[in-house]
Amino acid sequence: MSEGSQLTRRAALKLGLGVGAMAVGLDACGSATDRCPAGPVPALAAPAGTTAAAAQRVLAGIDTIVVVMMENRSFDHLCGSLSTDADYPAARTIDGLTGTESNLDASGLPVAVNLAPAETSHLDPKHDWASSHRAFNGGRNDGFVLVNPDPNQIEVMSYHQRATAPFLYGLCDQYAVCDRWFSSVMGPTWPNRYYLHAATAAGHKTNLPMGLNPPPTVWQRLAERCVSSGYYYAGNIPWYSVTFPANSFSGNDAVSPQTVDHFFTDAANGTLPAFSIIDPDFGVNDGHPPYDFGLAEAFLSSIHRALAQSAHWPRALLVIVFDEHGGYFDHVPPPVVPDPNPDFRQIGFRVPAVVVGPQVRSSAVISTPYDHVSILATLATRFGIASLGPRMDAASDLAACLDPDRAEVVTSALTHPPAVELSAAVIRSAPHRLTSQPEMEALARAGGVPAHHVDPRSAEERLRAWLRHAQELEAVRVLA
Amino acid sequence: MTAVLALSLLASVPAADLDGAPALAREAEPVPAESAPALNRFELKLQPFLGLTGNSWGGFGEARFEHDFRFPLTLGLELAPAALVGSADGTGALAEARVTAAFSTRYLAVGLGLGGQLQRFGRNGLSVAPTLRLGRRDGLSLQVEYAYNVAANQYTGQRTIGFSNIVGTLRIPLGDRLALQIDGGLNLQSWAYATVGLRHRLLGDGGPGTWFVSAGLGAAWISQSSGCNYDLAIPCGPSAMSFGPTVSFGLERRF
Repeated sequence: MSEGSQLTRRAALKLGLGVGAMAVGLDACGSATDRCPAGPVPALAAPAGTTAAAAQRVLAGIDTIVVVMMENRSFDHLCGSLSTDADYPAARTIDGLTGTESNLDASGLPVAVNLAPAETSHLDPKHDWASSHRAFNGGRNDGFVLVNPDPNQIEVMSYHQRATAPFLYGLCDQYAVCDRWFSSVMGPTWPNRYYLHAATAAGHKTNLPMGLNPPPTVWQRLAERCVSSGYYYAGNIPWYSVTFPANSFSGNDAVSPQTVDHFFTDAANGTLPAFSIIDPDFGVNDGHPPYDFGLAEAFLSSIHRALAQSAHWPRALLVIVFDEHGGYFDHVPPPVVPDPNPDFRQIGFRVPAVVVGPQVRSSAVISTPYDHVSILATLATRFGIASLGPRMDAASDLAACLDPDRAEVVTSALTHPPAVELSAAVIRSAPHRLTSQPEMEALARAGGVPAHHVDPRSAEERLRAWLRHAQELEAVRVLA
Repeated sequence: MTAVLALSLLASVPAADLDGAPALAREAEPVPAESAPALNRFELKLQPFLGLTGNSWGGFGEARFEHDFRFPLTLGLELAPAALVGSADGTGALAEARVTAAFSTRYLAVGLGLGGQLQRFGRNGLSVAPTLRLGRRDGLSLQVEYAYNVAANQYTGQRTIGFSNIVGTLRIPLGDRLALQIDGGLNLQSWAYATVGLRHRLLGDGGPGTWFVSAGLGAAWISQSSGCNYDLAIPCGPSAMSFGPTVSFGLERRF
């Protein structure tokens, strides 16, 4: 977390030595592909009677997959209290908190799980590679407090309840919660997001950009099969553009980042791509401490409403997931998975993950082991995209989250969680001058992002634009 | 701005006056008379390497012909770079060729190259390369060429402008005939190299009849890979990548 002014197009042009200024498309932006007049290449049918064939059959009912990846919360921290929530229909089946969990501090005294204080008091617990592995402690999950001494030690054992995350809990009530969704890397943000985009972090254990010859991405795999895709960003610069500079500067990338305003427009027009990833604003509403979690709830609500009110909804899947645990306690030791890099076989802690859509199992807890690569595995099953490596080959797809009997569900009968209520004071205090990804800002200032990918609006203008969408969708109600 | 202004002023001063200036008199390289006739220059550079992984190999080549007019204009042709790479998985090749024109004075050159980019794997199209030289060509100088490509995006079919590569050369005079030469080039997707070496004026005074030779050591990387076509039985084609230490040899002839 760092403080600093937001990057503007003018700053990018001044500081970027014009590197990106010229990396522009000559034609209008769009997902139309001249090379695919016949449309997507259909996936090859799996042998009849196999699990793969069953998964293909279930996922065949899905045409639009939208993924929102938020920031820095463990499963126990945000969803652990579902197991003791009287209003949650699957409280008895979900693997949440009992209320007796604790970690010892440096003096050997137990620090128990505790109800989170006012959201804005959150600090930013350590969650780098080394700290996370110390917290893991060979599967004992007993080092969270030790790596976060005072004043963070109480904080890392904190958990939320329905009162501070009413929208997310509302989705949990109605759809599928994955209580074995692990972060792909036991480390910080970028390596985890790399796994979402490429099924590998190419050895990166810290927040550093991909270098020369980056690994192939899901965007390339989708384009190779002529499956439409979109990458929307709510902040001033797209994470992907900064972290895959060899792709974003080449003029030959398979995806063209667009501001989240385009998502709202595309949803309203019924022109969403088959697969899209939405990044929240890393300066406002990504859920990263110390931001008010109400802003994250409002963002999720706006995305959900936009999709749920679109023509895509009957055949849509919305995946809400957090990138990594953010230093917060979780009691489930993560497993190991096949990975070409031995250092990355031990995956990270559980993160909140909710799978939403009319065809999703109702009020369900899915305990299939997942990580972010499972989204890519789902694309392989549904659209037949080629493998991005052994991690993707070994990952389970999300078919278990779907209910084949709900393929014909009448979507108008579904209710939406109530609108998120945001106080004007929270909006006024939205931390425009902070960013949860200072490395992104630093690289952008050094010319590390094509200038036409920089949203020239001020943070306030972006916030107002997003809130306007959210209010029009009745996803957010602003209280005086 | 001050530096640019100073360079511009210097560029307009006759050579005879410059020779008398104390600061410039220390520069090692002789300066051809300002009234010398137009000059032709031909440069050739080769940079082979053996890869550290597998049985891979690669090499860069560069060829350039330029004609300096008596007025501040230089026209030329360049093949920069051409690259070959081979490994057990296949072979790859790429080249950029351009016609160049530059406003060129003794201490400053600003130009533009226009041409084409060809590669075995990847997109082909137009190449546009602004160039800049600060300092005397045979003295302390920095040359930078920044190339863009204009071609159809292989995924969307849309024509786009993208960053292709940046190459640069820094020369630092070490004596009467010798200069330290640092070369580097970077294409984010396909190749990179860096060498440190020496450039020696073998014959001549910098004017017609002059020969320069250069040699350097460094590292180089080239990667070429085909895309995937799922209509084919084997959808993803060959690729070639090599990385290793390199030696460079250069020759320049003026006539």
